[in-house]
Amino acid sequence: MINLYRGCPEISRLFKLISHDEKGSAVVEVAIMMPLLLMLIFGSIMFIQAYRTQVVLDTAAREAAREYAVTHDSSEAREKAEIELMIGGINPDETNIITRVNDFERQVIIEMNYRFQVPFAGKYNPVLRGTASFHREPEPEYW
Amino acid sequence: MNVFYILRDERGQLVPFIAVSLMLVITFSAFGIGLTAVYRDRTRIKDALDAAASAALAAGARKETRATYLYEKKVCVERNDDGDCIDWDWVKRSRDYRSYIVLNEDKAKRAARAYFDKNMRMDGLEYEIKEWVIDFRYEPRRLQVHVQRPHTEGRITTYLDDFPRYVEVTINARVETKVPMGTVVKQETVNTRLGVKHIKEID
Repeated sequence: MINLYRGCPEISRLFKLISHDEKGSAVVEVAIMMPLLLMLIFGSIMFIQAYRTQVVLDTAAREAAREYAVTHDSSEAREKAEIELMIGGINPDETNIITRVNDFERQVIIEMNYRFQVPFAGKYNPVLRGTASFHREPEPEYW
Repeated sequence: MNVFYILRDERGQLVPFIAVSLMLVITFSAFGIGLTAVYRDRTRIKDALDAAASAALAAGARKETRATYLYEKKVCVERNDDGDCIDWDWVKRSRDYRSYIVLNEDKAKRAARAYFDKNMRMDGLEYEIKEWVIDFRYEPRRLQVHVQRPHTEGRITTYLDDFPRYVEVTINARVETKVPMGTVVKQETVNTRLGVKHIKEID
């Protein structure tokens, strides 16, 4: 390639200067590696944050299902779930709280579309789900 | 190109440094994510065990009431036209009722296992139960029972009998679950050992 500029000493000298100059090489290497590092670090943070949200959903579902099993009132179970979600820093309006009755079983399922973005890796939108099932308790008067 | 030239050359010096950093970041990220997932799974197992113990008592326990003093009373069974009693009979009577708790242990065990499996399945966990021990303990409340029924039952006796006011269920389990990204940290599965205790008490 250098041969191409043999006829032009100015260009040949400039090319030699650039190819042997080591100034700024670190910047280029960091620029190449930084997206990968950022992706990994932010990916980890987002992943752990998603797990935290999952634990809050699980806790809210468990508390709500327990409430449902004891009170037999789905509105009270929803209220309990909403309180638990708010304690965990989740807006209840962004979730879908489902209560189910099956003979003696009381179920609560809380679903949430969890949106997050990892730099250089794109946007993700997984559905997180917290579930719990408890056996119906006899009326308090029974005991 | 000789050895001194290679040693003097500073180009690409950041590459090994970043390669090592990347390996560390990847390992620690995998470790962090794996640890978080293991903790989450542990919480889910605990919740499932909690539901299991709760179901054991809800399905198996019931309240009953029994008298502690059994006696008999002479009552008129036939009267004449003047209203005077002409025939008597002895009928059973009882008093001093006490409530106590009864547990159908087989039913409780079935309910516990069913609710544990149900909760684990709903959470989508792949698991294997390695140990499952369920125990029941009753309050040792023994009360004196008096029977004074010589005519109806042919007996006069007194004895101590159990009238437990509470029952306690304890579940100890060891559950094996898979570790997400376990291959990175060379730990494919994790064994979680947990125990829960629930009490049902009557007034």
